[in-house]
Amino acid sequence: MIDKLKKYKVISVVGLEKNTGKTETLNYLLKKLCSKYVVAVTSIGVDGEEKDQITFTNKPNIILDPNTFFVTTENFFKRKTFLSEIYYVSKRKTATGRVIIAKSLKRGKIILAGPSTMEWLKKINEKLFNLGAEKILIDGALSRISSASPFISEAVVLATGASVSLDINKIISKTLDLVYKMNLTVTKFSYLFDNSENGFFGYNGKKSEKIANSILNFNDFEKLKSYGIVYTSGALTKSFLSKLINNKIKLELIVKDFSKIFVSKDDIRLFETLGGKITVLKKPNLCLITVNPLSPYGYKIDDEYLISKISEQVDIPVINIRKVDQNV
Amino acid sequence: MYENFGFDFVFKNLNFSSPIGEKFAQNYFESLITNQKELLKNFNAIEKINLLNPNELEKIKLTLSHIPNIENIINKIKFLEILDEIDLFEIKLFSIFSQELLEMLKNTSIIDIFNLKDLTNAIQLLDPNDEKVPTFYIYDSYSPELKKIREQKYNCKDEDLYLKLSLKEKEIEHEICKYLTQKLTDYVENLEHNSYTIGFLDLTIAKAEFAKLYNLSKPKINKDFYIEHKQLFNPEIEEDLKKKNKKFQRIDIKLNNGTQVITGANMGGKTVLLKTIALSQLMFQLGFFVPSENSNLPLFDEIYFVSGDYQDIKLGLSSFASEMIIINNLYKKFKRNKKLLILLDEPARTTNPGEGKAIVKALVKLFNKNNAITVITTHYDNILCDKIRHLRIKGLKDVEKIEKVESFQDYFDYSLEEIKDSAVPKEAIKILKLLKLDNEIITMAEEVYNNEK
Repeated sequence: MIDKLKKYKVISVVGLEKNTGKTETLNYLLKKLCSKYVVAVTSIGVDGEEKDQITFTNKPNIILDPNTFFVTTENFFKRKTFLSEIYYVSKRKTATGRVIIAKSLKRGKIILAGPSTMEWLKKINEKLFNLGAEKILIDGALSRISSASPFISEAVVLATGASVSLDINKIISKTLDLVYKMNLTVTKFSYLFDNSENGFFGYNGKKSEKIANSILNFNDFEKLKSYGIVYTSGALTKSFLSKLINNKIKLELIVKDFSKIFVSKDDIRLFETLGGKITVLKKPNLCLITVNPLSPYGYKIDDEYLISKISEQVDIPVINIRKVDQNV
Repeated sequence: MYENFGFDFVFKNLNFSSPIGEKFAQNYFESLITNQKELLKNFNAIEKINLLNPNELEKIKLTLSHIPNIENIINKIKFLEILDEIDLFEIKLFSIFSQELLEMLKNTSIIDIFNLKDLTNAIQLLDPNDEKVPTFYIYDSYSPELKKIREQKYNCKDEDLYLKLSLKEKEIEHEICKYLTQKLTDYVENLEHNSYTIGFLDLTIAKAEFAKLYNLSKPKINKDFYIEHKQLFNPEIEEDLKKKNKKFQRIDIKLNNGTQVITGANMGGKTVLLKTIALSQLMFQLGFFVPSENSNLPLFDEIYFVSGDYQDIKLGLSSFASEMIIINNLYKKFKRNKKLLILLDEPARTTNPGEGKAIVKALVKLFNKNNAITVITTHYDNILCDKIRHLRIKGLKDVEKIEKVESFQDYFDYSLEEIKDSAVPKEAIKILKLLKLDNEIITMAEEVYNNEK
């Protein structure tokens, strides 16, 4: 299973919801990877609080073995109780102080916190590689599925589980919904558009041009009929896709990556049945799905059923993080 | 205070390598340099940096980019506020790269200007194991007791004992921080000296690169109180014009002490000229080279450029009133014998011409003293008299040939001529025609003007 992660240098761990066992997954990966590689662990935004700020349930800490690089901010760094060596202090500040890169010298627990923007996270990752890190694990914070963007991470581990819903079939469909979006085809036509620019662009068979600054509030659907391929750098919303469907517009709609898609699998399928197509510039490498059968409120679901149902639809490993953890 | 001089453009185009440089520059630009020795030191430093071999300079800049700003930590040491691990890390980082810079500069000609102090002792203090890497933690070797506690702590399985040992560890670490802070007081002077020197070096490199990029020249300093520029230009406006495929006409100008009046047509570049004189003088007195081929400049205590619509909404003052209050304030300084450069762009233009003319005439006379160089631009007639220098922007040639107002600049001669008569150029109506205003307005204006004459 870890072999699948061998070829990737930046791996993002994201949770479908809060308390899906993302931190346990991270700890599990740390344990597995640290014996073979120099690992660095970072996050975007604040995470790893001892108490979950929303549900006030206990959360496990990130546990570091010696010689692991970690990224946190000044306030959290000062609260740690194990020995670590400082390598870098940023000039810029987050709400909880400057960003610090350090290396654990002993085993210990840490609260991760990180740069507040994706660009900054990219820079910190570069620093980590310069300092000698071989693998970077990113802890995607609450509602920060964006750290799994293929523009940041080479591989993604998805944590799902009981906290998503009481209904096991809902958990399955929500998980598969995200997996579907992560697996959308990569477009063959990215060369038609300048990907560094923001906006809504169209290609009419001859050249590409900017149609609007964004698809929000875009209403000129007649105009769209002259384009075969369009690209939006921003979010794909449900209202926009519905309008495309209602106006019977058939085209290839390119989105930056799955993290920009805010419509469901069913919406996408409907659009495709009507002759449209949704593609992405880049696709994440989903490597592993972990399942946490315990909900923060104490009930437990049938993990084996859940794993088998998800496994039917995907060809990557799906594991119960709690069971694996006990075996280690 | 200097916000309308266009200095923002200069600051924006300075490339600092370290955060110290940028902070240093902000402080350094707070006040004008009025000391000739300090200015010469600046110019000399820029010249020497421009003579460095480019590879050498790149290496210096790379080292600078690693140096953190330790201003706050220096203050903590001075007040014996105990430094924490992060502070000590930054002091170590600073010292290591400051030392690296010193070794680099030793082989160059700029070492006597940027004379960094040796920080080997500070490095040794923060690198007790002689590892020579820019990282830090509270090393075991600081205290045998700490070493013992740590060994116990990381081998114990009992949670309560672990916590107890952690507390003890923190206590000892704190004592060590206290000891290190105390020790660092011995080196605080050198740290501070180096921090200043690094800031000055970074700023000087930025100035030198700016001077090269915009082809600035090293000014001469005179004590006879005159301003002389050969081929003066405004780097910002020149760059803008270049983008539009147009050329900035560079100007030769000499200003003497006392008042001089500059006249010229509308759109004739009077404001740009005053602004450029203000900017070049400000740059000079902040230790920059200046935008000209050749300049000879005196030192002023203060520089004033009063231009445009001042409207102080808070005080409910009109633009006329705000302008007059500013002029009044500078007049007070002028009376106290301060050496001033006073640049007034069409004063009293927003009031009625009768009284406006009287006010300008008064200003021309009152400011005509030896402790200031005063330049007043105006459209008013008859404010000139024998003792006052009159410079005129040559202005339009061949108005009839001009077809489009966009090409207006191609027919305009922005250079200055000194003239003896007191007439003001009459070009406003020409310009109306050029702007293709409604013919009725033009004919009526001509009629009224000729009748009144």
